[in-house]
Amino acid sequence: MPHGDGARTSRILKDRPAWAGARTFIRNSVVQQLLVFLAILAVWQAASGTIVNAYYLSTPLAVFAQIGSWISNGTLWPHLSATLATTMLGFGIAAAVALPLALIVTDRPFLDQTFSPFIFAAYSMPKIVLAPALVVWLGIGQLPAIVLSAVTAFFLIFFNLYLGLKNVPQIYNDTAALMGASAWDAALKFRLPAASAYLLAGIKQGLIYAFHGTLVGEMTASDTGMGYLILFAGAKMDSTGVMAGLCVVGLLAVLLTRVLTFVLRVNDPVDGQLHG
Amino acid sequence: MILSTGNSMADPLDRQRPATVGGTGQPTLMFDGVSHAFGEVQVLDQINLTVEHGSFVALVGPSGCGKTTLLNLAAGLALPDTGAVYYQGRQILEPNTRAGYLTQDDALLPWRDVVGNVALPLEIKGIGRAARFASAREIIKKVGLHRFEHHRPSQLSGGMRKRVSLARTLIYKPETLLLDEPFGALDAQTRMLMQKQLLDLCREFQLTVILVTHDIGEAIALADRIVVLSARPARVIEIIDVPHPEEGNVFRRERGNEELYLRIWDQLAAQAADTGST
Repeated sequence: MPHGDGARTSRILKDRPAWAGARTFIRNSVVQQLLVFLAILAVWQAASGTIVNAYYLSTPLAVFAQIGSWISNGTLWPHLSATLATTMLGFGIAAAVALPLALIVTDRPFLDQTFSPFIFAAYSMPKIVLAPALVVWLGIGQLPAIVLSAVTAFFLIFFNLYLGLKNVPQIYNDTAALMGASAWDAALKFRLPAASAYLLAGIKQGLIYAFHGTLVGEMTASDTGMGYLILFAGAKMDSTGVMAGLCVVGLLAVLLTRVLTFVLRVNDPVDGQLHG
Repeated sequence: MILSTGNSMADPLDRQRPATVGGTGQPTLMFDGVSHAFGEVQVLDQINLTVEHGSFVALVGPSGCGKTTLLNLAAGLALPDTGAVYYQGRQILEPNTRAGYLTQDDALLPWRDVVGNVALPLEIKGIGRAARFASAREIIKKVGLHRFEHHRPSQLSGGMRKRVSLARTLIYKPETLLLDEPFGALDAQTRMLMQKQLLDLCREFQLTVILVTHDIGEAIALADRIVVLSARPARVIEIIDVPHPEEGNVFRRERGNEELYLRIWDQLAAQAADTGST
């Protein structure tokens, strides 16, 4: 509908029509995202049983029902908590090893030259192929999943932090040296905060990859965890169970990143107390 | 004399000549036959130079001639290829924690506020929070930034950042200041104010200062002695005493020595013409 700018302005200023509120509501990005999500569910529901056999794809309603019954009969929680605990443990171990190792390796040119090529080679190798070997070494259970999670996360945290520390401007190292800073002080007060952007990137990617490693580990050799639950449903040709498991895992992944982003924003190393 | 020198072509006995006037006669810093190269590029050629306690020495020379390298050697951030550098009689083999080094780019930590930056050297020394913050506040006041204690470096002007750097250097009470073009990037007015402040602080703390500058006027206004360096590889061409009958006023100190200014200018121009560099 063609109308002049003046008319538009005056209408906004004076009397907003009744549907103006609805329009602002729809333009809200969260609302838009929700609408897209609902649309996908609707297409899924409509396509299932018409275009695609419902046996393969299941339906959103059946999936929700499945999740609901998992929650009510107590199936979900043990698996969900096992996956969460394994992810956290794997991530924690990875960070605890990667952080000091990156600091030491980048501080000693000799260590850097000797070991970095091996670490980079291992970094580019897909870690999930380790899963069968881990089963041989560690047996069935959460242990191989924890190790796989830790190994996967380790390389991401290490690699990011390594790059960050190698990029610390020489002037910070010189300043630390001229102040007579110990290796500990130099790491904590100069190098780590200077590399904080890389460290945060490493932590974010590390957590996600710890989650991936956990799921693969659970799928390979475990009797608990979301990975196991999905694999078990798949083995029974239970497409509803597989989709329900995928939905829970997807939700968990989003939740993990959201929580992490929030925590990291609160503890912004530039403005917060992390490096006081 | 406060400072003696020689180069590869000069009388080798030159540096044995006893110091007679100025300072305390104690050598604070001594370059002994120092040569240095970066890969194929020779930057220092047989530098012999003694800076005595309490003197203010300016190093001038064509750009890229190795002035900063001299300061890095004095700070122990690099070791010379040949020859040795001595600080208070002891050969420098590791970073010199007793000299304050004000580098060309300020090395303030962007994630710390002004107080946090200035107190950092004391923090490294393990001095308690209350004590180091008190010292930091005192010295920040001295450089006139007490209203900006909780600003971050990114919120300060270039001149303010230099003053924070200076405060951070002075807080560990160095006996010697190494200054690498400290005021180069500042506007003329700020520069003059900071030059005056530097002179006052030098007197108050009885500092030995080595100033690298490309600004002949600044060298004349601030220094007791000026060392003129050749184009790369740097040799000492001449050492000039700067008479300062007029104490205090930076502007008058500079303007009172026009002839000296022209003389150094000619020397540097000749050096630039020699190498075809600018």
